[in-house]
Amino acid sequence: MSVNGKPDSQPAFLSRESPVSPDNLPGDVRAWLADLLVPDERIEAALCADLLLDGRYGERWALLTDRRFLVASPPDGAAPRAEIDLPVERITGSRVRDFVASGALEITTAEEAVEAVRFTSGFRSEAADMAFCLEQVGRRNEATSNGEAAPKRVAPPRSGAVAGRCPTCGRAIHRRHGTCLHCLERGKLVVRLFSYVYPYRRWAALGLACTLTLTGLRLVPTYLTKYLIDDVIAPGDLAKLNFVVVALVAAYLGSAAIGCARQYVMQFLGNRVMYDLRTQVFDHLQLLTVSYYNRRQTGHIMARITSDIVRLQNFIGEGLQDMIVNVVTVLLICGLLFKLDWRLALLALGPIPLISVSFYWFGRRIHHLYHRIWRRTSRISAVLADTIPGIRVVKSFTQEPRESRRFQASSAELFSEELRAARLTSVFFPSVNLLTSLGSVFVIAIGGYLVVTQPGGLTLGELMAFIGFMWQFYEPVSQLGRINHRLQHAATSAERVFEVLDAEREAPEHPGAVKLSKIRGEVEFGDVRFGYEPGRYALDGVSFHVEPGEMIGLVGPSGAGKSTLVHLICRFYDVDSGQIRIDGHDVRDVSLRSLRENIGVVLQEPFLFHGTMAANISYARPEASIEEIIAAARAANAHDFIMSFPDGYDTVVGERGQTLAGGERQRISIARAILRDPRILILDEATASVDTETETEIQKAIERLVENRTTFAIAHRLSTLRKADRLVVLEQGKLIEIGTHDELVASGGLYGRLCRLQSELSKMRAW
Amino acid sequence: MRSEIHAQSSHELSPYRDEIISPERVTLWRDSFRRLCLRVDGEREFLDVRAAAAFPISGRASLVSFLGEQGREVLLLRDPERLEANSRAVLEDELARVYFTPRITRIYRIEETFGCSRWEVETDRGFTIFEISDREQIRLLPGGRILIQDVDGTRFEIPDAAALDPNSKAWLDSET
Repeated sequence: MSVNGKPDSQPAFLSRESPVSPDNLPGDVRAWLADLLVPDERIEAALCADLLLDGRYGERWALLTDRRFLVASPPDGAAPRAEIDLPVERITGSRVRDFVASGALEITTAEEAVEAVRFTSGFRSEAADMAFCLEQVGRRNEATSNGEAAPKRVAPPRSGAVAGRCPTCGRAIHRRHGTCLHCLERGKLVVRLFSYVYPYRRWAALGLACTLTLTGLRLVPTYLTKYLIDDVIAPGDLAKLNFVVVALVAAYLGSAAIGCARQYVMQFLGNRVMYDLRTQVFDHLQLLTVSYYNRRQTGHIMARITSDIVRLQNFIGEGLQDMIVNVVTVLLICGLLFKLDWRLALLALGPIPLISVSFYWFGRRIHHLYHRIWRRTSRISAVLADTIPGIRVVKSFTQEPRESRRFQASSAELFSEELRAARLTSVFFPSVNLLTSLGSVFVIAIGGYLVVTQPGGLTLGELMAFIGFMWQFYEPVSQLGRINHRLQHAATSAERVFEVLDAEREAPEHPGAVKLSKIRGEVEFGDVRFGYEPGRYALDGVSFHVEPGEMIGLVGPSGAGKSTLVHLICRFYDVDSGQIRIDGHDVRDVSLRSLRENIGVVLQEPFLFHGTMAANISYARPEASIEEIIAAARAANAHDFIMSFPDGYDTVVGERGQTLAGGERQRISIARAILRDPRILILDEATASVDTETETEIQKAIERLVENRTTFAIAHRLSTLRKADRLVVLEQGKLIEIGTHDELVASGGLYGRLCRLQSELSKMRAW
Repeated sequence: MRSEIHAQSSHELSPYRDEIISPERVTLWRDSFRRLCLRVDGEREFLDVRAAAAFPISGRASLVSFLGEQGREVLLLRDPERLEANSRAVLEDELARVYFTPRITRIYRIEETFGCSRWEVETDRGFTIFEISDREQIRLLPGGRILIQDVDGTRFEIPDAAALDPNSKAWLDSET
């Protein structure tokens, strides 16, 4: 690699495929690796990292074989040499160190830890996979030295797609597009879009016919100019003048009528297709997995239903039409020009390539400038969004002059960029105008010369028509320069909408799925493993058994896997290994609907829909009678406060139930759960966000709800769990303690420690 | 002697929470398991701490915080450049890892496609190629300083855009 010039060839690691599979190492690596490995040594995991230990870019490989852990860099001419060569028996584990924008993998033995490789953030998940394999080797070694049986080998949690990159080609994906434009097959997308138009093909054909007729009619008046001059005015034939007037009126009337029809037909088509698509997308959204929603922002998903579909509608309703009209117009006029006089036509078409190229150049240039303007505008908005809502703070600290200066600075930047764009547009359009005008001057000069000098050749009328057509010609040409841009936009929107439709639906039921009716509520976890991201299990080998009607308290620090555990019961996700059984049925073998009908959930942040109190309570069972709704509200301690509203059960709760206090919303959601009468109840931090007094109210409601139901309750305040039959203590995805309150306190583990801490705290509060 | 050395218990707050400690009182080292450790006034030890700069971007003050279990600060150190040589080397080595930020010295090419861009650059750590997914990831700071975050989260720095060669400057201008 030379220092001043660009390296002649790219370093290989910049374009290596990742993750690297140990069975399929790149050829050059296999070649030098052969010198390091002994015959029949098997590679179990491989990691290609992109940094050297001194922090410079460079390729470095870490390999785990059935005998050794090896680290080596590609040899530079010399014989390959392993920088780390550690027999597997000595490995005790490993650690991935996550830094701000890079990481390092360290390998540990009983005596020390060694930095094996360093890597930039893009290699993080591969490094995590390697660490996972090394951890297992460590655990195996520990078990063997203790004389225990070696633990079963487990595959690393499946690696998810890397955020921000295309899963197919690995290129960066623009945050706003949300889809890889390189892998976009524009043609296929347009074909797929047309499959939605197909049911309305008669309308589409009618629209197209109108469009073509209209395009033709628009050329009639110009053509009539020729007739008017050559056959009417020159010979002074008034009878023919009447004909021209009538023909003109007819052409304009026809244009208007067909224009109306076309407009309506195309609008109908665009709206109708989008109606179908919108409905289909929404229906599909409801069937998608929870992980689909975890990976995306709500706003982006909503934008697909609203703005992307509107863009597609514009494309089908207008964009496509404009394209067809432009192409047809250009071809028609071209034909007419050549028919009138081919020499002049060549002359007139001369500047066209120049105009097309300059429009293309201008489009790119102005796009770039508009982008700069847009960035500076959003900076101004940011200042506004800071200052206006924070005006009380600004005033109270008397910082008005500073805010004004800040605004002025952003404003000045915007001004200078606007001027750059203004300079470009104010030069460009007049220049293009000049170009086309000069073109027409040429045509007039040469055409005029031809008309005067060669009688019987080109006539005056033909020349006038020619010039008329020429002007009608430039407009579609400049628009055609933007075709690619418009197609691009439509294809992006189409891709985003189709991405939703193609996204995997929730865990498909296999045909033999059992329909659960009323279950008893026995739940069993058998060696359950599950991970959201590569290299880390959120639940790691959890096993326990719950009797019907038992209340289980889930305890542990945040991130221990409590919520994951209850999500798995609802089957929002499928386990990676092991199984969850309800009444002896694996949850994967029962129909999703019948499973969830038996489960009731009360969340920390209860979600209320826009509607009345009664509608919100009966959401789980729309057919519930008024008596049942009131009984549920009473049981949830919600009846009294509902009746205190002037509109009683008819009170409309705002979009997110904002008009209610946290405790009130929570009691509505408890009433909802009571009405559902589930056999398995999940309370996810149901009382975390309310004050102590409200908590007592809710606690009473919950106690009624819990009776005779298998309950899983997550709580940080251990007092909430005092009614629990047994407690399950989780830490880092592992079940570390299980038993009754008294047993766990006596054993003096994590739960005992937490209990002591919290009782000290509550003493302080009492004081 | 050993009994005077306390290992920090996870629920105990550090006694140095309210001060900014001067470098003379602190010794840093890496133990054989590569954990960062520190000793204050020759008596109090903290094992396996994490170093974090208080102003990693602006560098307005050189203050380094050391975080212990559950991210709780055990000590805030002023003027780390005045640490004794061994400790300073350990800290510099650690911070270079934590704040890995190649400095761009030359831009060969920026290929723009659909709002994403692919940069081929020379840095103080060698030639590399990176991609950014959004121009918002380019932060313009006062004094012509530019910070760029690529799609994987790696950070790059251009200390002074005006000091780049004309070619690189032209490439850069098209992106900011």
